[in-house]
Amino acid sequence: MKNKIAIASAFIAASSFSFAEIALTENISVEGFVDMSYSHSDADNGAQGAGNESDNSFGIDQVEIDWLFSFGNVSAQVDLEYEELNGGTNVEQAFVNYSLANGDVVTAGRYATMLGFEALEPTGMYQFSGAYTVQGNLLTAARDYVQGVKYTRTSATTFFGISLQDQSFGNDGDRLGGDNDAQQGIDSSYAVEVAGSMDLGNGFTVFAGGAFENAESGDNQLLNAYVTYETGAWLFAAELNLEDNESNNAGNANGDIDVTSYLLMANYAYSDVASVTGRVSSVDVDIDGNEVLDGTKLTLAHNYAFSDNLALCAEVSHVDGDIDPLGLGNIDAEVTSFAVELLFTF
Amino acid sequence: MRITYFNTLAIALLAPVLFTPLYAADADAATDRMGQLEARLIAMEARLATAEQVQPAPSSVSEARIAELESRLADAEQETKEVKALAATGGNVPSSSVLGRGAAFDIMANSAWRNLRWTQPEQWETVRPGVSVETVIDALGSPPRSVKSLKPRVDEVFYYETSIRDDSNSLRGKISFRKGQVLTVQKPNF
Repeated sequence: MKNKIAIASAFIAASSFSFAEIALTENISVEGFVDMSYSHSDADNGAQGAGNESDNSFGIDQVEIDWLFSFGNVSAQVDLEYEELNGGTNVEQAFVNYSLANGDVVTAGRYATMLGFEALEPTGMYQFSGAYTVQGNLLTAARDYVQGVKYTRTSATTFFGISLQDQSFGNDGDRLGGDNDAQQGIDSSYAVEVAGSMDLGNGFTVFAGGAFENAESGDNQLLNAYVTYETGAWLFAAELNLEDNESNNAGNANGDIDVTSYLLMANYAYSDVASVTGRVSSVDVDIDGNEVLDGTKLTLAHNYAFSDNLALCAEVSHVDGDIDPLGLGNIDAEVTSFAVELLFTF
Repeated sequence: MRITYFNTLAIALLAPVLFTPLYAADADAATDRMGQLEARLIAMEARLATAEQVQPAPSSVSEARIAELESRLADAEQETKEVKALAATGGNVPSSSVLGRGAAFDIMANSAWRNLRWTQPEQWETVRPGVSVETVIDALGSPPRSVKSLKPRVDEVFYYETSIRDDSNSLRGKISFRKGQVLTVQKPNF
């Protein structure tokens, strides 16, 4: 598995329109994947009743087909996906790139956020589950895909990007610039995302970025930074996220929600076709200064590639957290999960 | 004797009397001859009918000759067409014109070269472990298919193949990359 943020890989991805995946014509190619899994989880909240349950699931998690178009300086991509979690088929990404004379790229449409160490797709993951998810539920509010206009500059060792977009935390989506439906008349609504990375040499890469969202319901912001170090068959990564959310999308009308999360990860490829990954991640959520969630997740995963197109991932994870949603005292909750994932790419 | 109305009338009156016996003798001879002719005609018809019932033997020499002549005729017609085509262009086929046959051939040849140069063994000589992605594409052209590999130590794989379905009777080459450099090369079985 590859690190999606490794800068060399990012450069290849940026120019991958000329590297047809399955070339249908000289200008059109297609790629995609099928992701299926079996998972089992045991939850224990230290008390009787709801929350103490076991769950099994098997099915197709995601199917995606990406259409890639290339016409000289203009290229485009349309990603169509079926995702079990979202309950249907949708357009995951649809954007147009225009390459300027100096190699810079202007992108317009719906595209993935530049922030975050972990890949948004299972094809770029080292594990089955995300660092900040518990039983499939993401514990942060930052959104994966946004709509807007993005400018990126890439060199041999650096990357810089800035995006003007409709939202970053799921507030006022599809409303870049605001509209008349705002509760207080026409209200501004936009988000800005900035990101940059640098290859320091000797296997070190650093990344820093942030997102600011001006929504009708409040201002929200996220700072994201991570560093990776690759040496031989080892890859190490460390990430920190600081999120300040004033919106009331958490059901707390006037609450100031602060989310701090981090991960530490080590991946070792002990052969050409197999690797093992260990990860420690944590999420801390405070509302108006009161800690409502403090959880730590331990993950151990093994990847085995039968071929370049087919891989099997097995994962065991354990989440231990304290939950105090009502300010009535902490509830110690634990969730242990096991999953086997089969991934086919083309 | 002068030819007068009286003389003409006298000859017309005397002629039947003078020539009637001679005419009767000639009519008998003609009847005999007609009978002989009818007999010969019947005999000829009989021989003809007999001859028609027997198929004539084919002449292999004539058939070969006909085939040769037809071939020469076809060649001559083709040469005539080409001469007419050259005459229509003044004997010069423009190489730079979009409409020119030479230009069309050049475009097709260049396109084929661009897309299929990986099918020539000598193009693979520069593809070795350690060379860059750009070097591979310069030598072989863009791959008909590539995947982002799921193997831990392989980033991407280029597949150069004439068919993704028929693996028994087609050329198949494969190049894997790690950090933008060739990791392994599997040349087609030329």
